[in-house]
Amino acid sequence: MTTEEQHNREPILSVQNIKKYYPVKQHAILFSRIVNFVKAVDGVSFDIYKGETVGLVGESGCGKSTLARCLVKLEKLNAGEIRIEETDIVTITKRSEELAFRKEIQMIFQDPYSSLNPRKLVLDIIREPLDIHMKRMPFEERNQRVYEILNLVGLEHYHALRYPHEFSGGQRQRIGIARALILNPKIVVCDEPVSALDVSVQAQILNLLQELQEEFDLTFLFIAHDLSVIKHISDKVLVMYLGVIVEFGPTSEIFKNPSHPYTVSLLSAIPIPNPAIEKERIILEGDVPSPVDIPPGCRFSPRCYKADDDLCVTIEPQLVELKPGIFCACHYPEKDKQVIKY
Amino acid sequence: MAEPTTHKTPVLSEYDRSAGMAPSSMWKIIIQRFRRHDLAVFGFGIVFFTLLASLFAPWISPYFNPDRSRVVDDPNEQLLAPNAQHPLGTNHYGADMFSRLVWGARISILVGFISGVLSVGIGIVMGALAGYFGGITDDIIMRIVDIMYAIPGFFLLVMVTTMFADFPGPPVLWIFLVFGLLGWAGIARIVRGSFLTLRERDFVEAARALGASDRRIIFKHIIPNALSPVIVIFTMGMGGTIMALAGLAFFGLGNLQDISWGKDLNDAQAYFRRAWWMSIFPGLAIVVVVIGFNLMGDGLRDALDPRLKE
Repeated sequence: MTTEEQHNREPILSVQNIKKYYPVKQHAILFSRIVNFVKAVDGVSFDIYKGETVGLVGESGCGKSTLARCLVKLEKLNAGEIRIEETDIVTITKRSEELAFRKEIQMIFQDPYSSLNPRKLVLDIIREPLDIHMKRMPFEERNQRVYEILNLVGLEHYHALRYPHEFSGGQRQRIGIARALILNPKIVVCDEPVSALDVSVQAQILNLLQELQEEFDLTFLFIAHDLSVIKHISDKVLVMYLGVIVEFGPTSEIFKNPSHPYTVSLLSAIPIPNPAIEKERIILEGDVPSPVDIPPGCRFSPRCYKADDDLCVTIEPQLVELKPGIFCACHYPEKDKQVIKY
Repeated sequence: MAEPTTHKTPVLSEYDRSAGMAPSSMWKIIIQRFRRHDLAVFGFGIVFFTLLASLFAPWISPYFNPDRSRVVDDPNEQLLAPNAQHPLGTNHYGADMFSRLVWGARISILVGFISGVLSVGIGIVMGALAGYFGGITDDIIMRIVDIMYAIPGFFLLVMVTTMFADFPGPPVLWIFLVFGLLGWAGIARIVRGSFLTLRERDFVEAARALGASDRRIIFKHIIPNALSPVIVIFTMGMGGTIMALAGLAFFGLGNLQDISWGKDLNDAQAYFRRAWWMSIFPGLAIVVVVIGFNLMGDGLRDALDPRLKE
C-alpha cells in the first residue's frame, strides 16, 4: 500500500496527543499529597489504517504497555483523544456506547498464565464476551460460536471443557486469542503476545495471528520488544522512548535506513547469527532516565551519540515527516544510515 | 461457583472419553487432594459426626422430654457414675449426661454456623468494597476494622451478653449477633487483600476490556478466586466460636437456658471430686470438636491452595 492511497483514507484508529501521568504520592500522617508524576505516556499521536499491522517497540518502561492499556480504556487519560473510526472513546459515558466501542477494539495479553481465570472452564472464558455483548443470542448458539472459534485458533472441541491449568503456554495464548476475536473486533491490541512463550511456539502464534488477520480483516497494534518479531509481523513501526514516539514509518524503510539515533542503536542490538555480516554495534551509555524527571530538551540527549550542542538539551524535537510516510523526532536525524549491511 | 455440570455441553464422543478427556472439575481435584490428607479426613469425620448428632438430637438422646424440650431431670438418679442406663453418668439434677452432650452439640454447631455465616457475609461484602473500590471507601472500612481489632473480643462479649440479658427474644439470638459482628473484621481484611492482588491480575483486566460490569467482575471473577482463604477461616472460626461460647457459659455468662457444654462444665465445678464424669465428658467434647474443625481447616487450606499442584 502506498502512502498516497493511505492519505485518501480515513484512519481506523486515530490517537491525538494522549497523556497518561501517574501521581507519585508522599504519605504523611493522615493524608497523602501528590509530589510528582510518572509521565508514562507523554503526548503520543499516530494513525492506524484498516488492515495494517503496526509494531510498537521500545525498552522496558518506555510506556508501551501503558499506551496499549489506554487504547482499550483500561486507564483514564490525562489528556488527548482516541478515535475509533468516528467515535471519540475518551468522552464516552453511556454504558451502551462503551459496550459498542469495546466490541470494536480488543486486547491480547502478555502473560497467558494470568490472563485466564483459573476457576473457569475454557468454554466459559471464551463465551464471556458473547455473554456480555450478545445477551439475546440463544445460549446454545453462543456455545456453538465458541466451538467454531476454538477450531479457528487451532484447538479441539473437547478443550472447551477443561480448565486453563491443563494447557501449555502456547495453547493458553490461543485461548486468549479466541476470547479477543469472538466478538469480531476491528482492531486488536496485542501486548507482547509471544514474549512469554518458547521460541518455537512464538512462531506458531505469530503465524496464527497473521492467518486470522487475513481471515477477519483485522488491524493490529502489535507491541514487542523483540525486533525480529516486529520485522516479521508488522507493516509499520512505532519506536517509543520514555513516553514519546521518536520514529514512525514503514517497517522495511526503518529497518533499512533508521533515522533516529535511538532506532539506530536499537537495530544495532539485534543479534545476527552470521559472522560474515558486518554490524556496527552502538552501545548506549547509562540507564533510561526516570519517567518522573524527564531530561530537558530531547529526552534521548543524555544517552545519544549525536547530541553535543545546546539545541539537543534545550529544545524538544517534534515528530516531523522526514520523507513521505517516515516521521522522526530528532534535530539531527541520520541520513542513509545502514546498521545492518547485507 | 461455576459448576461445570450445570452447563448443557455437547456430548463427548467415546473417543474423547477413552482418551481421558472428560472434564476434571476444579472441585473434584480439590476433593481428591483433601482425601489424601488423613488427618483432615479424620477432622471432617468428627465434624460430620457432630453435625449428625446435633441434627438428630431429639432421636438420639434417650432422656428427652419433648413437651418441655429439655433433658429430663430425675431426682432419684442424681450424680450416678457411668452405667448401663446412663453411659456417661448423670449430673446433680439427675439428668443424663449423654443426652445433654448431644443437645450441647446442637447449640454449639448452631452458634458456630450462624455467627460464622454472618461474619463471613459481612466480611466478604466489606472486604470486597474496600479492595475493589479503594480510595476513601477503603480508608473508612479499614479504619473500622482497625477499631474492631483494638477491642478485646472476649470482654466485649461478656459485656454485651450481660447487657442484653433481659432483652426480648431468646438470648441465643444475641449470641449469634455478637459473635457474628465480632468476627467479620478479620475476614474483611483477608478478602480485601485478595481483592487488591486479584484486581490487578490480567484476567480481571481482560474482563474489564471486554466490557464486563463491576458486578460481573466482582462476582464472577474475583470472589470465586478469593473464596478459599475464607472457607478455611470459616472452618477454623467455627472451632474458635464453639470454644468462646463454652468459655462464656463456663463463667456463667450468656444467660443460657439452653443446654451447652460450657454450662455443663460450670455445673461440674462444684462436683469436681465427687463426679468426675460431669467435667470430663463435656470438656472432651469441646476439645475433640475444636480439634476436628481445626484439622479440617488445615486440610482445606492445603487442598484449596492453587499453587500446590498434584
